[in-house]
Amino acid sequence: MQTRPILLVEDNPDDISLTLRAFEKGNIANRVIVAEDGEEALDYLFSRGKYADRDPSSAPAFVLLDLKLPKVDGIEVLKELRQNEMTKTLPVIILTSSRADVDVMNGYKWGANSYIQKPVDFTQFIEAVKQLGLYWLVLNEAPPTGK
Amino acid sequence: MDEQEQVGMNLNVMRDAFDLSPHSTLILDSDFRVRATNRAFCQMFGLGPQEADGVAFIEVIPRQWDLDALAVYLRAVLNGFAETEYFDGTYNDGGRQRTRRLTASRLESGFDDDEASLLVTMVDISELGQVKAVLDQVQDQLVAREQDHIGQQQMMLEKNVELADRGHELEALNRDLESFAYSVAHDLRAPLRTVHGFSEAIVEDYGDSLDEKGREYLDRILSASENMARLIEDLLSLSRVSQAALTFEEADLSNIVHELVGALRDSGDGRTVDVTIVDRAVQHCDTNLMRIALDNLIRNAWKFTQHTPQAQIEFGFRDDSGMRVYFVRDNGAGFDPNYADKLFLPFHRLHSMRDFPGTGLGLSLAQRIITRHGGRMWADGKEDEGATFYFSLPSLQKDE
Repeated sequence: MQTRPILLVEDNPDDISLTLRAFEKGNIANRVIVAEDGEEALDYLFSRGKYADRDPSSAPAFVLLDLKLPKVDGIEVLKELRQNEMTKTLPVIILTSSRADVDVMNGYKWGANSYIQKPVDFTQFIEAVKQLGLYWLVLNEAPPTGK
Repeated sequence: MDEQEQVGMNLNVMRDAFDLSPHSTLILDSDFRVRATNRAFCQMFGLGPQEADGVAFIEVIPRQWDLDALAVYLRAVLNGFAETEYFDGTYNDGGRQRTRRLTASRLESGFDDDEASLLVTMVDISELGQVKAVLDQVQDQLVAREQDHIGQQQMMLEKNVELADRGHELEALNRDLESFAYSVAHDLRAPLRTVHGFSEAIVEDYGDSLDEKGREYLDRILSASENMARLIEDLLSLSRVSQAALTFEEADLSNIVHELVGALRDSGDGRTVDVTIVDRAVQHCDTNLMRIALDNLIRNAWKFTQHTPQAQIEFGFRDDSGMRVYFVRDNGAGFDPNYADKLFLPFHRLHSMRDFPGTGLGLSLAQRIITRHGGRMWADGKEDEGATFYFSLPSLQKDE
């Protein structure tokens, strides 16, 4: 079946590459959309700008969101998502460079669901998506009925 | 008793009163000749009764007195316009400075044809003079001391202002330094992630096509970048610990230590360490920070007992006048007590990286956390005889 895509919001090409590699290693078949700044992420989610043609009702499975971003920073993106009816419940996992970062606290405050420490490694990633009950979204099998 | 007898009696009383008065007293006529003296006067000057009668006053009194001044004074009193109330006569009596205060009063009756005479009393004020001199001296000293004191206060005030200024400067500098450390550490992580991430990728994806040497080199890169990552984490913790606001609550430190030891036992290093943990060490503190402090102390003990055959670690406490003193004791490598004060300096290490790897920040971090709680941390130990790390925190009882 066709799985929903994952939106990766990250501006560091090395981190993008390492994250994509981790997904590949873990056999995650979801398409990964990469947005390299906050504005692009919002454009994608709200089908604006270069994503104007995207069907806004086909939301990504979840968002992996770095907080330090050019143009519109991660917290701003998060705030806007939470204020919009369509994206209010969209799962957001913060990407952080430190577990004890002040940004993590900030992220939770603005409605982030979880966080992953960079570099994204597969075990950690699976742990986070399991915790959020999103495991089925990244499996290649069909989702369990009722979920 | 007739009137005359009565007058006679009164006169006797008056004469006795004059004669027996404890103050040396005499009467001078208008020529300043002595007309009557009492016993006290004769004693004071070593004269027999009536010996001085008819003698000029200046012949009776010590030569050293300022006779001119005395004459001026007596004449003024006699004429009814004295400007001063007394005359002080000083003289040397066998090496001792003596002073007599002489007070003259004009009597409105005189001898022979005189209109008036003088009643003179003399009091020995030598002691008073000495007391006064002492008092003057004391007063001078007091004044001097007060001025000193004022000067010192002024100086202290200035010093205080200076110190406060210096304190603010230091605080600002510290903040700058910490925010600098924070951003440097933060920015260092990104390239480090790349180094580590891609080295790992090479090992995983191309490990098979490398020979043993190539894999060893990559291992070295990996472990060095892991060390650096830890160092950066510790640096960040250090700056965070200094800046974070404390949230106080009751925490059972015994539980925390149990958890920390559990994690170390699960770490798969295959070690057997005999750990003793006191029960219910309940403490009012910021639990998150205290966990970091304890983590560093327990890890420290765990690490430095790694070459010890029967490793032992103990966590306990004792109460000491309002403070609770906790300790983490081990029987590991210990340290040279000469360097005890350097243990807590950031980046200071007392052992080689090869024997006991580490960032040199763990104990600084622990100490800073304790300091932020209003406590103190210190250590006790000897080389190869183990170490004990102590920290004091305000007792729970005190707050209740």
